[in-house]
Amino acid sequence: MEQTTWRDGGLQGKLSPHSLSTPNSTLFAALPFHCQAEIRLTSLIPHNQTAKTKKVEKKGTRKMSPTSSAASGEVSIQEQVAACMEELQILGTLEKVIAASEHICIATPLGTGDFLADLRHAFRLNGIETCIKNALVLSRRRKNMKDEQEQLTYMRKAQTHFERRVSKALLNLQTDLKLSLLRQRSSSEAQELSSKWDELSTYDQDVGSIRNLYSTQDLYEAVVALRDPDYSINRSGDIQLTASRDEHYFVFEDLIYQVSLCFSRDSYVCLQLCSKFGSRAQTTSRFAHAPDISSSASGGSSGTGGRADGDASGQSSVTTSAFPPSSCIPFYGWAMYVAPLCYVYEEAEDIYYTLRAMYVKYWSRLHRLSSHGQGIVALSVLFERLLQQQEPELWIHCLNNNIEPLRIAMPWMVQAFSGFLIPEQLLFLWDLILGFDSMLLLPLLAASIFSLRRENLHRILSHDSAETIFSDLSTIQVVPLLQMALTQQSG
Amino acid sequence: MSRISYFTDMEKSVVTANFLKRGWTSATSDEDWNFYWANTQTCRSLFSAESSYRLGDYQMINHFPNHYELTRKDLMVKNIKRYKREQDKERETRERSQFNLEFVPVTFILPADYNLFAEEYRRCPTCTWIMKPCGRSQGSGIFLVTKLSRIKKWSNEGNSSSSFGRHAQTAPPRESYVISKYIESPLLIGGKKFDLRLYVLVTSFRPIRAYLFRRGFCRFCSAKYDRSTHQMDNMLVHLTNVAIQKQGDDYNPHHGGKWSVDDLLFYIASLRGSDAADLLWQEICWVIGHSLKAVAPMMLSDPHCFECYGYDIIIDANLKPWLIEVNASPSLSTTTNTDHFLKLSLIDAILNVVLPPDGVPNAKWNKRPSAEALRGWIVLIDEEAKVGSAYARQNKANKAKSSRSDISRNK
Repeated sequence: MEQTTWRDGGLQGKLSPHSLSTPNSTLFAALPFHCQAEIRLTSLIPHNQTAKTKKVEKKGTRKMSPTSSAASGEVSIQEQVAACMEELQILGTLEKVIAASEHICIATPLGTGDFLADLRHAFRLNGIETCIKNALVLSRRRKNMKDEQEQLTYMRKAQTHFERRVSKALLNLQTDLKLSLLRQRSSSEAQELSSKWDELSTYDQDVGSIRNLYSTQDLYEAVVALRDPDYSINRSGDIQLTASRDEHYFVFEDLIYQVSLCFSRDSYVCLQLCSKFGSRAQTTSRFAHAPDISSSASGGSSGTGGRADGDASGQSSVTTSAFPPSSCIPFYGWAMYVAPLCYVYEEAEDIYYTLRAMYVKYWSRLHRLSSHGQGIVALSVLFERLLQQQEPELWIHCLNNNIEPLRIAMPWMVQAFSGFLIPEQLLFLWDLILGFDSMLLLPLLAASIFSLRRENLHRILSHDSAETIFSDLSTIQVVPLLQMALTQQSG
Repeated sequence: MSRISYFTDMEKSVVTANFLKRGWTSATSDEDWNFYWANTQTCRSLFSAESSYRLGDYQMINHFPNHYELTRKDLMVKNIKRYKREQDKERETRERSQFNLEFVPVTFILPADYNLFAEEYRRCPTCTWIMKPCGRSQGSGIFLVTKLSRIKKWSNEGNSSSSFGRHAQTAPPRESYVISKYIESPLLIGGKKFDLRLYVLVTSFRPIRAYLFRRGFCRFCSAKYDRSTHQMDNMLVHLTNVAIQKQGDDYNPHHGGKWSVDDLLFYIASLRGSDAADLLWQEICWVIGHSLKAVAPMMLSDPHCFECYGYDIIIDANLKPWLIEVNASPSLSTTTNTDHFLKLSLIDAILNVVLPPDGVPNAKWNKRPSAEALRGWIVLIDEEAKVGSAYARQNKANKAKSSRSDISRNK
């Protein structure tokens, strides 16, 4: 079955019909336009067609490890292709791009006699070039992020342990409530839900029986349990989960429901987090797909299918999937990431995309253990150091009376102060976080609040009473406080 | 004066707690009081012609004898209509304000004004109207109307049948109603309707001294707003009264459907710009100020009296505030913690303003509170403010610019 429409052009007739129907060869052809700095044009000439095709086939079944030969500084074209394809896969446009490329390959009239040039031209005209260009840029950005993945073994272990605990809590909850978490809504359920989409707060659900999976307190325990020379606080007692603080936000209840529900079902979040933190390091349980997806929750089979060991494949395979699809298991207070945005946007869509971007970029670091400079562990360390440095007497007073400042400041930082500051002040703070592109403002503000209330705290002799001093932050003025703190730091 | 005694008609903890905090003691029934937190009936009978009781200099009471000129729905409308006519006559000689005096929805008194209403109804047959009994509160006896036939029926029944709820039987047979154009497009937040409850303290009507408590709140319906006819009778959608909302399944005791005015203004400022929020607040102050000016000539400004009114205001989708009604005895029951603290500090703030600096009730006092005593309040009107006080200077400067000078936000 010779392909007769193809003229014998610059490729010296080496393109077999087989390779044409393998869409990835077209990607090869298109590559040099977008990463000329890194790839020599000469490498384009398909001197080892078969090897490439094989690679491509491998890639097609998603078994290749993209980081296998990352040791060498030079990025090979195979790796470029792999990265590009992976990125397109993440973006969800791979199929489309392949189909379009195939179409172009077949339909491009060959005027100049230079097949490669024609192809390039056609790719540019059809926007495929931009697609691939973007995919490569994103992929490179992602690779840079990968470089900052967790290096400390004890940290990785702690995070894994923490994830397991949360996952286990989720699994237990599922078993206790006899819920099937990983299943599609039946059509009647779906209908009911969409009919109540604008007032989800009235959606008839027994939420009372659902336990909170974890709280900022659990995270505090996990952070201070880290074997780190800076930490040797003994912990005892119990934080009282703060009273319902939603008086500023309850009017947006339905919006928050909508956004949170969408977020938990958004696998884009999962992909983003995977590539950010490494694929096996996502806070997620993996559940086997129930064979009877559409059936009701009759059997507990879907939940008890067991977790696939993330180590084996490193990528989501066909047989397991994350629950929730976003891979983000919310802690008590998670909705506070959503609520303040309701003061900024009226439409759920706008709130949603802003939340997602901010979550992926910032908030996701606030409830996982890592040695990243913007992670909660680093922020906690910074908080204690700032407090020690700015208020040495207060620090000693706290030590002597078993007052644990971090236990008080932890919920503030984990929720990025949402639910603690009044909305106006909170949005000032978030603005600053965006502006400085830094979450170091969180410990800075937390330490400043301690400085501000130092006189009160000095009179306090127990941790519980100390909590009450800080239970109401509604009078805190973010900007002056931070300005004060920063001038104090520099001066 | 060795000790100050108080008397109350209702045991509200937010009230008595404030009295006790000041070291006052409860007066026994045969003993005279210095400070009476009374309900409106007691106050009326105390001041009535038949009453032989005369208040002394060291006595204060929390209502004006004829407060109903402002707080009865029909009288308020009558007074504001009259005021508007007077102002319209004067208009040529005055600078025009950016706001107008049409801040009360078109309202008629039934059955008295039935013909006027019918005329207006024909002008706008698709409008929705809201019927309210003149003398009741907490949302009782209220219903929505779209068809003239229903009013006719109501009118023919002589308004004595029990078809409008259980209260009809206990009410006098010829109870009068007001019917107002319903604000069909209120500003919705989170899809829900709300109104504002603002506290306004008046210590004198001649000259007018009026203060607005900074910490008002919004009261939300628990059900989504829905203009369709099948929701017409669902008061959970249309009425924000806590007494009504508490009966709904979705009433939340944690926040009680109450949202602070600060949150509202911040929300409006972030979505529609701070100018929009400022303008709205100015207009609200303007509305309250003129409603007081409208009733002032009718009021008996007894020096023993002060009164704290609960203003109900609805903001429509164009951010125009509408005065719905004024309550002489805004609820002092508390639904949530925040609510409790708010009302506690409201009473405290009221006492700070109405009492002379020495803290002893005194009807002869000039009623000029210090800046310290006015903490938590915005001065709405102080007609007597003499040149020399900072406020008056500001007032004078503003007067040159616009006619709404005397009702401006006191920064």
